[in-house]
Amino acid sequence: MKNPVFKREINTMFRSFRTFIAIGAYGLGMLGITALILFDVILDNSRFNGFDPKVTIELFCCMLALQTMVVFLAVPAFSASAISGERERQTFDLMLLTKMSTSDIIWGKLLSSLLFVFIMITAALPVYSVVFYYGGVSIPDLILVYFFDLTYAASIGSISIFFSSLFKRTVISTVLSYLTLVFYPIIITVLTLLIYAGDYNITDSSWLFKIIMSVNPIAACLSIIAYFSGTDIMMFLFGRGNAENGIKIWQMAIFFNIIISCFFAKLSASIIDPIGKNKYR
Amino acid sequence: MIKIENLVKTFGKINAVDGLNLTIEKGSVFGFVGPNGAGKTTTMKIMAGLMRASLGSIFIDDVDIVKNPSIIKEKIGYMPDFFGVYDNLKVSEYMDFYADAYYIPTNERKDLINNLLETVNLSQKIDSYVDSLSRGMKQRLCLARSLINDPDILILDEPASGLDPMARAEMKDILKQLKQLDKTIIISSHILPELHQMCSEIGIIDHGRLIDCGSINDIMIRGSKYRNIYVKYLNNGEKLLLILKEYKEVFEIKEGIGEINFSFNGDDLILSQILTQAVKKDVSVVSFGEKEGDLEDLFIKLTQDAQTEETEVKQ
Ligand SMILES: Nc1ncnc2c1ncn2[C@@H]1O[C@H](COP(=O)(O)OP(=O)(O)O)[C@@H](O)[C@H]1O
Ligand SMILES: [Mg+2]
Repeated sequence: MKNPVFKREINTMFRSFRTFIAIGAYGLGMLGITALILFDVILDNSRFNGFDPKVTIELFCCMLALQTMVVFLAVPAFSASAISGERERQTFDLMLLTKMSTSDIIWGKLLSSLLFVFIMITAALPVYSVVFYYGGVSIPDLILVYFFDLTYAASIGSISIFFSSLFKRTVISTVLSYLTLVFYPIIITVLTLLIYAGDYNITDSSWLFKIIMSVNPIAACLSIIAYFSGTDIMMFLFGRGNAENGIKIWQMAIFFNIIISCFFAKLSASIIDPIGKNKYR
Repeated sequence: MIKIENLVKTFGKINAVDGLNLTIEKGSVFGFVGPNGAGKTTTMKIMAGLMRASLGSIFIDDVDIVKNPSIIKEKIGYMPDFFGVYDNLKVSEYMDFYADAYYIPTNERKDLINNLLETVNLSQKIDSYVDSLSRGMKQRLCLARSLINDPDILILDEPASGLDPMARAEMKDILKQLKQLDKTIIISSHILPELHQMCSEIGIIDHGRLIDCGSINDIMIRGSKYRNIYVKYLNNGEKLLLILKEYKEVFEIKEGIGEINFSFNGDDLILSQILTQAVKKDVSVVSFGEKEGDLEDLFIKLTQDAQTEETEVKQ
């Protein structure tokens, strides 16, 4: 990795108490939820007749949900200070003086928050061994989940960095990042429900519907859980069961996240450029 | 050579820099003086590529850096008036980060960093955390950082502000050293006397415009303001009086006990002639010099003159 910002961030990541707290809290959370589900399964004798792979998948889906939620919540805490934090510390100008381009700076920041997320979710890997032990979930499945979550980390991270570039104060960029994180999925879900309510004439597998679903993080997460569990949560939520025919919604969401990340990274890079073309006069 | 031509920077309705013209010779130490809000920082930030000019050009060796900002990263080192450090880095890591950010090859960094830290007298702090350094040390570290790309031109925005006298003296020594490395150095200050021992040339700026530029002597004479000179001696003071009376540049001679004060409106050459003559005539001179407060008076006078002119134009 040649990026100086990225190198500095990873070198100092483990000097910060915050890192250990985040990893510790997440590990304990994963452990807790695993224990709860296992106890529930073992105590509920009617369901317990040896380990049914279905139970492991259920457990895996819960872990997946928790992991995704933690990633969603952790990323802004890390990224919303990326640029504004440097401004507040008065180190930002010194960074702009160097030969790094503004996109070097932004990508360094973005990649280091991805690495942070990766380390955090990897630290909980031992907990996943439970599901491997009882079977039903494969390692490629886990890699897939990691990749899925990392693309979300990238898009949320890039949006947080965008706010951090736009506003001078970290408090403001943090608040706006979390507001976006909470309200964007709600708004888009409500809109989807309103537009498609009772409208059964549209083909479920229409591209427009798929695209609308894939830009909705709630739908994408349900889609990947549905993919592992075999249940049809989409049917339950949106009343249409075959939107997942052909390319899956979560697969499209991965693609969408990559585009969003690149877009906001580029936008942020142009915002922080003090002598960019848009800054004349 | 640096040539600033008709530089303008507007913030809304304020013209922070208002048609600045300035030429700075290669290898000189240039003092950029003006009261707070005069536009020094704005000008320096534009030169460092941290701000876009509204109008005008800055030529470095005939290339306009406003149009070719990539040259700035090669040729200019800049130390801002206010700056921060990363609290979780050691001095060596701090320097290494900036070396990396200037894409200096890894194998050249160690020697470079050691040399720079030596230049700013921080070698013994190489393993300390940056955060634990004193204000003066941080300032010196930042100076080392601004030298990391071996710039031809060094821009220092109020490097002495907020430092105690000891740290200030140390800063001055380091700057003297840098002068020997044949770098063009531009130093800003809102205090004229602070600069005059260090700088070969001075530009006085107010309201974004250059009021006067040149050596201190030239400015003094143009400001048609006399200088206050004092001579302390052990004996033969009456001989000194005779000498002084021969010069038309000398007036308002005041005699004290073992001391003579006079006003003077000539240049340094004449002043040195007076001293040489006095010594030849057996005046036992103990000390001979200029009272510094007057520089400040001149500075205030110059900036006030400019202001009254401006209001007159407006009326
Ligand atoms: N970012 C900015 N936005 C608006 N006004 C500014 C900005 N920076 C400087 N100014 C104004 O420009 C003028 C010159 O400021 P500055 O260059 O900092 O002066 P100096 O460094 O000589 O004290 C001041 O009136 C200041 O208020
Ligand atoms: Mg200033």
